[in-house]
Amino acid sequence: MPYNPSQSEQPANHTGSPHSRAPASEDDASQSVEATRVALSALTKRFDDVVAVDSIDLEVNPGELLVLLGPSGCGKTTTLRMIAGLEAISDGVVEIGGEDVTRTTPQERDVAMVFQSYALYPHKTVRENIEFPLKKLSLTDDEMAERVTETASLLDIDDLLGKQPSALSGGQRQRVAVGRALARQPSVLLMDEPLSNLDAKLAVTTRSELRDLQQRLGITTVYVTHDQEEAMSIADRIAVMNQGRIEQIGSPREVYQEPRSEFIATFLGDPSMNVFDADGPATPLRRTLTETAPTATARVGIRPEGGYLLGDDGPIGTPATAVTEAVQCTVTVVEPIGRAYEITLRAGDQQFVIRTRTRPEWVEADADVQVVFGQSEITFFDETGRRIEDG
Amino acid sequence: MVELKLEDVTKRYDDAQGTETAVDGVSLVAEDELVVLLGPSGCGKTTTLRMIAGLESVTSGRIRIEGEDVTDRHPSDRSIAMVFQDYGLYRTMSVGENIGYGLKHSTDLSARERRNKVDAMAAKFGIEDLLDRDVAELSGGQKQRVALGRAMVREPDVFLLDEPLASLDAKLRSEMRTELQQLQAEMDITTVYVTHDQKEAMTMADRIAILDDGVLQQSGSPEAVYRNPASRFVADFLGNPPMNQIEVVAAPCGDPDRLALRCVVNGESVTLLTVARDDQSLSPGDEVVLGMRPETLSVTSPPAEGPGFEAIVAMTEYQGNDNFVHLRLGEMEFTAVVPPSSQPASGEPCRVTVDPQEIYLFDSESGDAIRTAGESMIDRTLASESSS
Repeated sequence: MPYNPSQSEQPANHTGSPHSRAPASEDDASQSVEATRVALSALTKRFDDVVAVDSIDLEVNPGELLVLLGPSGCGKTTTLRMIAGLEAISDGVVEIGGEDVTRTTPQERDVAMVFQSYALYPHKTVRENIEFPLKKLSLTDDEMAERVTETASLLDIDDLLGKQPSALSGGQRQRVAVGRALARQPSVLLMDEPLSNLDAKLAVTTRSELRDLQQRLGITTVYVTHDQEEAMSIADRIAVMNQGRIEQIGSPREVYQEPRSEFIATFLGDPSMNVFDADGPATPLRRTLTETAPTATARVGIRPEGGYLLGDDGPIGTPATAVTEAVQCTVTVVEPIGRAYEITLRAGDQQFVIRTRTRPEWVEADADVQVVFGQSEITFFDETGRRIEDG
Repeated sequence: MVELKLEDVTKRYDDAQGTETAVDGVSLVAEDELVVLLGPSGCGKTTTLRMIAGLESVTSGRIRIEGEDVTDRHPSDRSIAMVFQDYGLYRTMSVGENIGYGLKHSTDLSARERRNKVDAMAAKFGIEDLLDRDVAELSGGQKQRVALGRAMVREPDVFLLDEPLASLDAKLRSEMRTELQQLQAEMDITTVYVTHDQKEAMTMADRIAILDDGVLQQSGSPEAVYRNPASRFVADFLGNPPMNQIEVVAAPCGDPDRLALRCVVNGESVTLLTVARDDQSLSPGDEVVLGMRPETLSVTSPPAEGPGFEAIVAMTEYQGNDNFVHLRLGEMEFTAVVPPSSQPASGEPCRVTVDPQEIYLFDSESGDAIRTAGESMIDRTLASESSS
């Protein structure tokens, strides 16, 4: 069943938002309406003398799922909480749907947030949990019941409405938390590490369900995580944060393939990019990787999937580009991860990891092997850590 | 060379609600290797570890270290060391005091000898500069190193680890994983390691023991268990994304030497692939569960004529070094892992093919494996029994 957060039966009641999308509410129920844009300008948060968020500019496009990604302490959750209105803003502006909401309360912002801990009311049933935020919307009883039914079927929690949160599994609680946020039909959905309490396996299925739901609803979403795999899987665009600033914004493919800095290059990717100092003894590995290095190069990187074992018939796997000369290496560890192998190699006193889809029998610990690198997969960084762009 | 042996170890809890069997007749041997106990929460893996440590009494069965029965011995008389998820460090002591504490109380080494051992262990973990620091000042990764150093400095016969990396972030976790592995290999110490993280298990283990509901389901090298899962449970648990499992019926097809594996899609019977009759020991009419690892599926969009079957692309998840393609076949959903260069568009039809050598078959009732990709036939009789 299509669910459209803006096809509210009583648009006039859809308040709590002084900036309600007036034209949207006139729309035919079958037609999806324009989603809401979120814009941050020079947004800053200072705690005493610590700058947690340092003048960031960011536009979240209507209907987009934007992920704020970064290590702990990078400012991503603080940014999300400023968008939600849960954190006072030291400087800068938050706009939602073209309106400046910087000084408004969370209730006035027409946003809904899903927390890591779910924050369900433990003594209320699932139904009451979902109803609770609807009570402020002055809906009739029928409308309220309708919203709950609609939301429950959207999230496939129809059977759980009479239960209490303590009787639910982690995955079910997570759905209820998302349901409670969406029942209000907010313009913007904010999610703070919503999968981090689920075990790894469940997190993988839940994230694709969340993504599917978000796309069906077309709701503008800002999603915070520290997990790069999660970020790449679900994002339209990723904003990678580091020390209170956004280091790069782009599609998952862009930030992965064209990282702007060594920080981003090594933060995204599992296993992470191998990085070596460009200067040092002229070992075969260093010579091979720096052969085409621009003069400003201080560090040189190669992703694990950019290294190929050399078999009798050439490189194993399919390098997309020309490859370097072969480097003699010794296998230290072979790790099967199921769908691939991660092989740790030693060349002289340098260690690095390559990733392969298949593993010939002769590749085992202590074996001597030859490795080539995809020429275009070698990445160069200058002394400030910025990537030196091609050509 | 230390052998740890569990013989039919069982743990039952009795309370007003009745009896609950947390660990049910687990037998397992570990010798100078790293064995990972893997399973979903509540499977009994931590209880098993705690029984080995002596922190939990054993209801029945025996635990032997080097042939000696330690089942009823006090934890401190077992020559084991355990590292906990929450580190369990002494907060009021310095790093050096924490590492040396066990030595002080369980050995009669002189202060100087103890100091030397502590220094050597600290150097091994790269924390020699932190010895005088308070534990409270340390980062998560540093605390973990101190906890490991404290456990290892006593040179125990058996090393036990309970989700030691669970509190660390992804990057640090992978660094610590490598470090731990190298250290374990270097020290050659019999190690039992509990985790629910299957990637951690696969990369670290010499041997994986998979538990479900208190029962040991299978043990073997990570690769062997991955390629030859004994049951649907193991096949599903090991692998990310998990193995696709679909109920199918074997049916004759145009080729007399082959059988079609068919399933019902929107009320119509669809052939997913054909297999050689003699390879599978399947008879027409057999109902089995077909297992296909996501990485063995290939996806072409738009669909070309040829073998395989047609599905709809629901969504593609970019992973950098892989794409996860979520596919829909009628009501069924399944996943393919393809190279990042292949990115079929959502909503588009595609053709999905799988190499018949790479498929798995499971008994539809017991869930036991009939055929795995690692070994073309586990037990031919099983297949014929299930068909009768």
